[in-house]
Amino acid sequence: MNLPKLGVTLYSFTPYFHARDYGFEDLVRIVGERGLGPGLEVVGFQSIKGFPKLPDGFAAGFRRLVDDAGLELSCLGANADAGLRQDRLLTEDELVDYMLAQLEAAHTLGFPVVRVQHSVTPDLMERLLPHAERLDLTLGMEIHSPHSVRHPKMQALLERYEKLGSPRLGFIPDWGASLTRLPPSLLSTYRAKGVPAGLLDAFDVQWNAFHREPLIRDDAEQGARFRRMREINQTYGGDDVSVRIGTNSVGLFGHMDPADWKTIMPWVVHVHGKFYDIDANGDEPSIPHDILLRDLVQAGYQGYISTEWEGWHWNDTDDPFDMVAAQHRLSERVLASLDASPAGS
Amino acid sequence: MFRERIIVDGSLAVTPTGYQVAVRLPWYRALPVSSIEQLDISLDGDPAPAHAITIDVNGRERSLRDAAGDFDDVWYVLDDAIVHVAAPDRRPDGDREHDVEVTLGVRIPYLPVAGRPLVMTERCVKTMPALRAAPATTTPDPATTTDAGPEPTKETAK
Repeated sequence: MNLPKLGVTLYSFTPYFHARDYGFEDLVRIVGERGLGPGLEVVGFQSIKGFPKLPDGFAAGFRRLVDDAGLELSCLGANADAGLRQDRLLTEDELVDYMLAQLEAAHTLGFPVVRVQHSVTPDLMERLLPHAERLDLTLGMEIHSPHSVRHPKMQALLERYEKLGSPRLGFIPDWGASLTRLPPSLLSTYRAKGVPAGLLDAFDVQWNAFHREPLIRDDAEQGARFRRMREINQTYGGDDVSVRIGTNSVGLFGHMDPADWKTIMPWVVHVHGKFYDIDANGDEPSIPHDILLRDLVQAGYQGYISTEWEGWHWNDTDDPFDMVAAQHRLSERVLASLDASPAGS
Repeated sequence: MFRERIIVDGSLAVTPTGYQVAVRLPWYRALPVSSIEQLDISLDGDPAPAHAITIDVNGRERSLRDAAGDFDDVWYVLDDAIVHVAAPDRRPDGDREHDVEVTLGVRIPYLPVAGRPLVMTERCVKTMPALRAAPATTTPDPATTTDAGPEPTKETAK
């Protein structure tokens, strides 16, 4: 059976990179040495100074580096920076130009897929399509918490995709949009750092209450959830640091049913294998890899799953390389069982 | 994110007109200079007025008002920015430790909620001695950036 391919985004190693412990080239080399590929994803504005402009000779050197590491380019993370200016959002024409420069860079670097973000509307996606064709790129709209497959923005895109019928447009599921519970290490880490247990319990209870509510459909509902978390922080004696635990829980940890990715599966062009924890059994306690991988395999998805460890937002003790390796072991175990079972064939 | 890294350790220095300190971006990727929505700094509890603050990014020193308009200039995620404070009467004493506090609010340009991008505000407090003279150059060390292309960097592997 043809299975999805594994890989990693260098975003997983942000703490080392930001601390200047490892440079961009070091990370690519180590990903190869530790077998964390073969897929390699890069966020342009993180890894490349001056992006989307590329220094002379950069692309050739980059491709050589990737080849030498035994890796394959999977996806370039572009950013739809509609809020570039302080005084106003970019106009549609400005945002198209802004995205186009990043598409050109992706092409020059040799990436097959570009991640785009939700400020790109169906109309703008349609305007970018001829450029994607010209540059031999596939554009994937990331579906990231707090959005879901059922969010009106994503439904509008799906409708447009079905009308245009181009294989160069699709979606990138981010598994952080479909958690089943808060990451256990989030709560235990902050408890150990002295955040009051009552406050953490209240955040947890509220997240679980949101989990039983309908998925958010607009920004006003998201804003209301931010406010609710701030109220809880105040009620339970939190401070300007602890409040972020609550508000980030709204932005990072989505409530979609993991099985609902099935509804967009034919349009999946890349996957962000977001995860936070690996427990003593080698499982991810809040992101059900058995369901997520089963549905990708059953849909015949053969693209990359970019492992994206984001536990570093609070976990500064585990090594990001070790965490990604552990998630790959989990993924390989699940994929092997699916490969062996008749239901997965 | 990375709030403890905002103030670069050991970067407080006395200048002819006041003091300076190196700051890092508390975010994972480069942001436009115009994303700086708030930059407050105080020395030993004495806050600098906004008009006394300039910020040097990419070797260009600018007022906070000018920085707000610099959407086509980028603060790279690995680069220090140097915050200069004009405080001729309150220059730090080079012989003792000082408390430095920086609050940095950056707009995250791809996360608009109801038409308004999120602003992440982080506060960092550190105690450090003041160097008696500012380092000769404020441009980033090329060994710590990637603009030289994908050659192996000189950094020490962790």
